[in-house]
Amino acid sequence: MSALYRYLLTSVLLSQRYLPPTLIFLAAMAVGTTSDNGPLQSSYSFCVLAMLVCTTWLTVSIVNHEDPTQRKITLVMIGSSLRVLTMTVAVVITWCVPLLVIGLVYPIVTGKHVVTAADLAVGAAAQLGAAMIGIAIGLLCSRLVIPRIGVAMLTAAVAILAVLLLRWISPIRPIMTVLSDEKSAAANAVPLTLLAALSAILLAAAVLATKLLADRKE
Amino acid sequence: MEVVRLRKVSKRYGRREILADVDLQLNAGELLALVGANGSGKSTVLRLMVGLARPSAGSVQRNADVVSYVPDVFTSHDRLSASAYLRHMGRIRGLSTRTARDRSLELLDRLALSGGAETPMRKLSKGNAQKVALAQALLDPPQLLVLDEPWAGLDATAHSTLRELLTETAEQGAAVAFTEHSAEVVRSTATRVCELDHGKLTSLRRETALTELHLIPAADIDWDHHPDVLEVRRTGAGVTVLLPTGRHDAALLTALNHGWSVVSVRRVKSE
Repeated sequence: MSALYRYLLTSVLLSQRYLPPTLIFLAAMAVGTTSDNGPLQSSYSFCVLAMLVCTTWLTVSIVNHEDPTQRKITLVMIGSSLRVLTMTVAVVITWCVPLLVIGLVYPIVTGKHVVTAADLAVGAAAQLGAAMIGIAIGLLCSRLVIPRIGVAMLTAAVAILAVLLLRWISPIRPIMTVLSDEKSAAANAVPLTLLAALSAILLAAAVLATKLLADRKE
Repeated sequence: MEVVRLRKVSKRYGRREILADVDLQLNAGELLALVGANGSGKSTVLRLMVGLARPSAGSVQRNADVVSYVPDVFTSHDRLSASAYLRHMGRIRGLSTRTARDRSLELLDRLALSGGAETPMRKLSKGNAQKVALAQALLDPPQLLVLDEPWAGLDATAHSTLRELLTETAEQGAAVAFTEHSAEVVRSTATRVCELDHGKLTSLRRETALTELHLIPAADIDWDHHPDVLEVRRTGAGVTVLLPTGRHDAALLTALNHGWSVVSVRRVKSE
C-alpha cells in the first residue's frame, strides 16, 4: 500500500497540479490575514474558508490527474477501488499538512496577536475540519463521479457555497460560527474537535459514496 | 486449473446490450484469442475477466492473485521516466526495489524500447508507450494476463518478442487472454480462439476461411511482413499468398497497384 502511496505522491509532485490551488491559498492568506490585529480565531476563520476552496480544487486536480488507463492498470494490480481511492485521499491530506502549517503560522507572523497553545489547537482543528470537507466535495465532484469538467466545477462551486451558507449540511458553518464568537480558545477547543471529528466521518462517507458511484459506471 | 470462468454473463450499458449469455472458461497455460468485429464485446469480456467491469447478469469467478492487464490504449502524461514508472509498478506488485529495477530493465531491453529507459513517459511514441504497458504487466509473473490488442503500434521486432513473451508466460502456468484483429498473429500465438459476434460467443475455432492469391510479381512488395498474410510461397515466376477471407481485398488492391498480375483468387479450406 505504501508503494502505491509513493507512486501517487511522486506522480502528483511531478505533475505540478498542486500549484494553482496552493498559490491561491497563499494569495488568500496574504490578502485576508496580513497585518490583522484582531482576535487570532477570526483570522483562522478566514483560513478555514481558504482551506475549504483550496482542498476542493486540489482534490479534483489530483483525482483527475490520474490517467484513466493508468487507473485501470492500478485497479487491477491492487484489486480494490476503495484502497486506491483511500491512497489518493492520503496523498491529498499529505499536501494539506504544509498548507495547514502555513494557515496556522502565517497570521501569527504577519499580524499582532497574543498566541496560546489553545489558539493553535483550535486553528488546527478548524482547518483540518475544513480540509476534510473540501476533500469530500472534491471527491464527489471529480471525474470519477462527474465526467464533464464544466458540470463538475459548477457543482463544486454550488457545494462550497452551500456548506458556507447553510448551517446544517456540514460542519463548516458551525466551525466559522464558533471561531467568530467571543469565547476563549480553550472554551472552543471541545466543540471544534467534535466538528473536526464529524468532518472526518463525512469524508469517510464521501470516499465510500465516490467508490460506489465510480464502480457503478462499470 | 481453471483461472477464470464466466457463467451466463450478460452486460448492459443502459439499454444497450453488450454481451448476452456468455459462457467462457480460461485455464492455466492457455493462450486465448478473442476475435470479432469492432464493438462485438471483446474488450468488455476482458474487463469482466480482470474485474474492471461487473456483469449485469451471470457471474465471473476468478482464481488468481496476480492479475495483469494491458489496456487497448496506453497514453501516459506522466513525467516519470519509463524505468521509474516500472520500478513503482514493481513495488506496488510487492517486488523489492532491486528486483523491480532489474526486471523492468530486462523487459525494456527485450522489447527494445527506443530512446532509452530514462525517457519521460509523456515523450514516448505510441509504440514505445505500448512496450512500457506490456512491461508493467509482466514485471511479476502473472497468474492471469489479459491484453487488449497488445500488438497495436508495435514494430516488427517487438511483434515477435511479444509473441515469445506471451508463450513463455503461458508455459509458466499463466492463463493468457488477448484480443487481436490480425489473423496471422492469432494463428501463430493462440492455443484457442473464441469469436464474439454482437455480444454472443458464437464459435470456438482455430482459423477463419482462407483465400489464396496466385500472383505474378512486378514492383517489390514485402508480403512476408504484411499484417494479414499467413503464408507466402514462391513457385517459379509466381507468388502464392495465403490470407483470411475478407482481408484479401486490400492485399489484392496492393498487388494491382504495384503492377502485379493476378492469376487466380480461390477460397481454400480452413484448418
